[in-house]
Amino acid sequence: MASAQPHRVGAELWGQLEPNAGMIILEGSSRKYPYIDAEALVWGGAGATQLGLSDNDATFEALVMTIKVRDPRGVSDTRLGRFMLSTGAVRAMHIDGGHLMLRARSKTHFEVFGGVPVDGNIEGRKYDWMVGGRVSQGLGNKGMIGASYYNRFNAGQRSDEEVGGDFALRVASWLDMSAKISWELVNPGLAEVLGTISAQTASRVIRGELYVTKRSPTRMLQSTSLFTVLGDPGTLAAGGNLRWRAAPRLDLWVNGALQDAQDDFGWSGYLRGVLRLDDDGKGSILGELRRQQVATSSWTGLRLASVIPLYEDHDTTVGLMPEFEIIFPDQPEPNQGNVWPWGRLALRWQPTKSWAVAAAVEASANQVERYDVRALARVSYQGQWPKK
Amino acid sequence: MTKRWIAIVALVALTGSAGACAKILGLESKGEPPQAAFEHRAHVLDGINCLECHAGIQDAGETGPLHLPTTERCIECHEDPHDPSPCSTCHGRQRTRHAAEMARKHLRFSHAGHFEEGAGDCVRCHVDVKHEDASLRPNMATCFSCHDHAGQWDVRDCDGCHVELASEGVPPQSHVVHDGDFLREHGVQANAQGDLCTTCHTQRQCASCHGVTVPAIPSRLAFDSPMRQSMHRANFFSVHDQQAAAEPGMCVVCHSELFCVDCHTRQGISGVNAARGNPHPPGWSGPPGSSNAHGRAARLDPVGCASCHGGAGEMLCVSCHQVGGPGGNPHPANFTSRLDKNNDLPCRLCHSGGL
Repeated sequence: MASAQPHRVGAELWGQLEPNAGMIILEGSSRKYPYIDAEALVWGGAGATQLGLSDNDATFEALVMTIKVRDPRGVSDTRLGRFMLSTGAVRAMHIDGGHLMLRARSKTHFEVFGGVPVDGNIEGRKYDWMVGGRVSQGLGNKGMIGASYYNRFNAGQRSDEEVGGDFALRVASWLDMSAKISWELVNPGLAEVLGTISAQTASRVIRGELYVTKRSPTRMLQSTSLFTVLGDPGTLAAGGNLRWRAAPRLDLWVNGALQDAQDDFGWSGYLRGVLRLDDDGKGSILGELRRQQVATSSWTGLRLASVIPLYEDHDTTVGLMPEFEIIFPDQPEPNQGNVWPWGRLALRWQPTKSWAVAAAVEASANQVERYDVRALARVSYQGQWPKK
Repeated sequence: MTKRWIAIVALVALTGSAGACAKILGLESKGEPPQAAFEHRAHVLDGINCLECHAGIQDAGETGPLHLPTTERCIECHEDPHDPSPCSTCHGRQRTRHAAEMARKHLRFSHAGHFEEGAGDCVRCHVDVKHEDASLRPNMATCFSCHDHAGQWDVRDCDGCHVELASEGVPPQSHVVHDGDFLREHGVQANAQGDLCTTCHTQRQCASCHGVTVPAIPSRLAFDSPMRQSMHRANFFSVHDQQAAAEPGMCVVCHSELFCVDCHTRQGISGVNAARGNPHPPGWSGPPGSSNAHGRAARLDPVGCASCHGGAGEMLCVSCHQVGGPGGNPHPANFTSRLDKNNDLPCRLCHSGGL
């Protein structure tokens, strides 16, 4: 029976041995009423510094803490709090602030946003604030086209100021395309261009995509950085990928791109296959071969992963998840080893739809650690009310 | 004689392998009993009205039973069933029935309302009945062929039809198709129509990858989901430096340039750790005319340099790279900036003296 949107809560205990770390993650959300949404995810932890924890002291952080007030007729949305801002040509930004959207009957949308970019635990220069806006126009039910502007300040000084354009179009049932372009105004020039066109057969047996990416790293740094004066080395990648459902349970991917990093040409790509072990895809096997040969990066990787259902009844499932990857660097540095293998074996027991318990052991050798073994464990709960 | 036996054994092995492969690949159903899509097309071609099996569907509202036929209904026509099991054991797929149950929970839809409008023509919506193996659930584009829902679509008001859309877990089939390498594609799609994405996706889903206060990358937190596509897969650590070098600017889309030195310092593998010493190889920098590898490296990956040499560290660069200095003018020929060169950073590091 169709029912109202529920309230949701979740909790996770996560731990790692060698190096030791522990975390608790709490989340909640509510979309019960049409005029307000609320969502929060906070976490606390202590232990190894590599996990975003600080110096073995207890760390508490909010990843998301936001409310969204909405006119039930959809004329306006206002989001306040800590959230990901991702709109128009503005790069995705984690901010403490607000985002207002107004929608006119003409399918014209107006957005304004602003706030303080979240800097996490990083010491050093901090962003002061950012502000911007976007105007977009709906193109029937086919897509959107928009123009945006934002200005970010650092140390009291204009740091980034960009204008941009974006669009997304579903020209036909089999053809999608979208692109965005951002232009830096402080050190004038292209900051980022992304474009993609994808098409699929009516049966969806084959889907292909062509894409292009151009970035100017100096224009993506804050303009207060000395390294912005180096001009526009720029990087370019142009490529495509193809997904072929070779059999009802077998998907094959191929991806290849030509890349340029400051006139240093190279390529990257992968071949991937996923075989589902049953019609519902509860079990599966993945194999992937990856190669990158661009600038100073040249390596080959082989990855195998699987989900193996061991037991299943109405509510309870038990599964085994082995995963393995080995990297072959073309030119390993002395004392870094010639191959970097990594493997993990995880076991998950889900006694009910709400609870899950998982544990894993992983081992690796890489350019930093000759031999590294870790244990991982997680207990999680996801609940909602009213219950269905 | 031997060759003949080898040929026979090879043929048997090949046939067996092909059969096994066909089952593994799903070309031939493996389960016991086998499940196949229900033979809707054959029934329609026999002139059987939909309501003969789905009795009562014409009056069904937003709630209530699914009106799927029972075995008793089937044997009213199929008087001599070939198997004592319930017909739905083999005829029709379990996942199709599950999808119908999910649709019942997550869609505000009334067959009764549509039956009169469609004058009892079920195929008008269930267009895929012509395909023997297709699911008959209409996709959203079919709804839009009559209902433009312009108002709701424009304001992203999906609640009019969809209930608790996110937990249904069904990616859209008729718009923003989540197929192929959608991990690569999703960003530029989301930028143009992000409010459409938020009708299903929560902020947590965006922030768990893009947020700067994530407790750990998703592949470490959800270590029991190896099939989940992720920018930072589980063994990303091994090649993160090489991937950063191959796509300068990619990392700084999400991470501050200070992220690198912050983590490396905490790990004790940074040049600023006394025990580690200078991380640069011999010949990195020197007087004009020497190998000076640092110049090309800086132009190739300015973000990497900025991570350690940002802020006060910039003075190390400026001590050589200024007009009249041994490093010369660092600007390329076409360099322009709208910053105030006497007062703004980084210009004032060199230009405050009126250079």
